[in-house]
Amino acid sequence: METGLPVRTLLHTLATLTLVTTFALIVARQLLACVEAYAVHSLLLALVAALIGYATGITHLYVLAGVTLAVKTVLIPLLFRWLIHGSVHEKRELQFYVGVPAGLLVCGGLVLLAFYATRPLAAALALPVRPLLEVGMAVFLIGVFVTASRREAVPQVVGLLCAENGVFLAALATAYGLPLLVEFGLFFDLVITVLVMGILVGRMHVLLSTTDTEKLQRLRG
Amino acid sequence: MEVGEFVGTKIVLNVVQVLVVLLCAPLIKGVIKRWKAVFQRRRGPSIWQPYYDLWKLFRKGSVIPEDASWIFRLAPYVYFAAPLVVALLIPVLTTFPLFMAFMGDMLGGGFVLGLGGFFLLLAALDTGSAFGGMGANRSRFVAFLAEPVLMLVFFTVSFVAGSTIPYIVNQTLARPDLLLHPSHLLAAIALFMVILAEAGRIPVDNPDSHQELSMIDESRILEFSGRELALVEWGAAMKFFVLLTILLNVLVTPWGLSPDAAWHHVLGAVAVLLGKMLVAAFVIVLIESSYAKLRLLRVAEFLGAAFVLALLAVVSYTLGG
Repeated sequence: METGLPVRTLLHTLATLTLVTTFALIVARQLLACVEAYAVHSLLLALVAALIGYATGITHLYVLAGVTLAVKTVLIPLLFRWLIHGSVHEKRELQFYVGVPAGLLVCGGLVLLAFYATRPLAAALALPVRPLLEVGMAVFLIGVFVTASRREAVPQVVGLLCAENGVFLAALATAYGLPLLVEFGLFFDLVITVLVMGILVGRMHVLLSTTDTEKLQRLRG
Repeated sequence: MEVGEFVGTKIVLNVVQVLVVLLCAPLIKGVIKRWKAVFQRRRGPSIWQPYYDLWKLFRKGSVIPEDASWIFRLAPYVYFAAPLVVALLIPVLTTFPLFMAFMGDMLGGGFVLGLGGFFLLLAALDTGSAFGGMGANRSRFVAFLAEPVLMLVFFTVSFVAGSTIPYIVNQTLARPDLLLHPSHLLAAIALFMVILAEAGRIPVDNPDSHQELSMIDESRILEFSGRELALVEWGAAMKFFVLLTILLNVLVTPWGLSPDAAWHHVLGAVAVLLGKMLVAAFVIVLIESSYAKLRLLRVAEFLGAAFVLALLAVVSYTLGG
C-alpha cells in the first residue's frame, strides 16, 4: 500500500472534511440544508474510496466510488427533493429535541469518545487509513444522534443514512471496502428506505398537515 | 558583530514593526470599505478615508458625560495601547525573535487584547446610558463565547509547534507536512471565525451600521467624541490588523518574512505583509457581501461551531492518525 506523504495528508484531510460536513448536518435548520449536507458528505466518501483504490490498487474500489457518487450524491438527494417538494414546504425550519448549541457540544463529546475508543483498534491498521476508522465511528455516532434529536421524519432518515456512511468509512478502513455484492445490496436498501420514507412523509402530511413525528403518538380509532 | 549593535538592531526593528501596525491598520479598514462598495456597484469612499477621519477627529474637542469617572477618560488610551503591545510579540516582519518577543506568548497577546476590550466595556458602563450597558452586555456575550475557541486554537498550534511563542511557531510551521495537516486547517478556520467575531464583522455584527439595535461594538463607543473617539477607532482598526497578522503570519502563510535585518529585506517583508492583508481583506469582503448578520442568539451557534472545529483540530492532532 502506498504510504507516501501526499496520500496520507490527502486521506487525513478528506476524513476531517467528512467530519466537518457531518457537523454541518447538526447545524442545519432547514430540510434542504440537511439533504445538501448529506450530498456533500457522500461526495467526500466517494473521493475517499477512489483515493484508497488508487493507493492500494484495488480496482473494485473505483466501482464503489462511482456507485456511491451515482446513488448517494445524485440519486438519493434527487429523491428527497422530489418527495418533499410537493408534500412538505421545504424551507420550513426544523424542530429539535436537543437544540443546536447543546447538540454541537454533545457531538463534540461523541467525537472525543469515538476517537478515544477506536485508538487501540486503529493501531492495527495501515498508516494512511487510520484516521478513517476513527472518523467513521464518530460519523456513525453523530448520525445516530441526529436521528434521535430531530422531530421531523426527513432529518431522522438523513441521520440514519449518515450513520450508514460512517459504517462505510469504517469498512473502507478495516477491510478496504465490503464485497461488491454486499455493497450493491446496501445501496438498494438505502434507495428503498428513502422511497418508503417519502411515502410515509406524504401520508403524514396529508393526514396531519405536518411531518412532526411527535404527533404520531396518539392512536386513532 | 558586537552584542550592542545586534540588540540595537532588534530594538529598531521592533519599533519599525509597531510603526507598520500603527500606520497600516486604517488602510486595511479603508480598503475593505471601498471593495465592499465596489461589490455593491457603488463608488465608495477613498481607501485613505479612515486617515482623513482620524485627522479630523484629533482636531475636534471631546464631550464627556457628566457622570463619567476616570475610567471613561483612561479607557481609550488603554484600548489604543493594547494592540501596540501585542504587535511587539507577534511576527510581523521578521522570522527571528525580536527584542520583546519573549515578553509574552500568544495567550498573553490574547489577554492583552482582552484587557483593552475590558476597559472599553467599563467605559461603556461608566457612561450610565442604556446603549452603553446594552453594548457592553452583547460584546461580553460574544467575547466569552469566543475565548474557549481561542484557547483551543492556541493549544493546537502550540502542540504542533512545541512552543507558545509566536515566532517559534512561525518558524516551525513553515514545513508543508505540518502546514497541510488537517488539524492545522481546522484551527485556521476556527481562528478566522473568531476573528470575524472579535472584530465585529458580518456575520456577527454589522460594522457599517450605526443603528442602536444592530450594533455590538458600535454601541460601546457611542459616547466617545473627538480625540478619544479617534483613539478608539484607531485601536479597533489596529486590533483587527493584529489579529489578521496572527492568522496570516503564524497559521496560514508563515513565509515571506525577513530572515535578517537588512533594510531591503524588511521593506520586502512589509510589502508581502500588505499583500497578504489585501488577500484576506478580499475574502472578508466576499463574506460580508454574501451573508447577512446573524441574530444575537444565533451568534452562540456560530461560535459553538467554531469551538467544535477547534476541538476537532485538537483531537485530530493528538488522538488521530
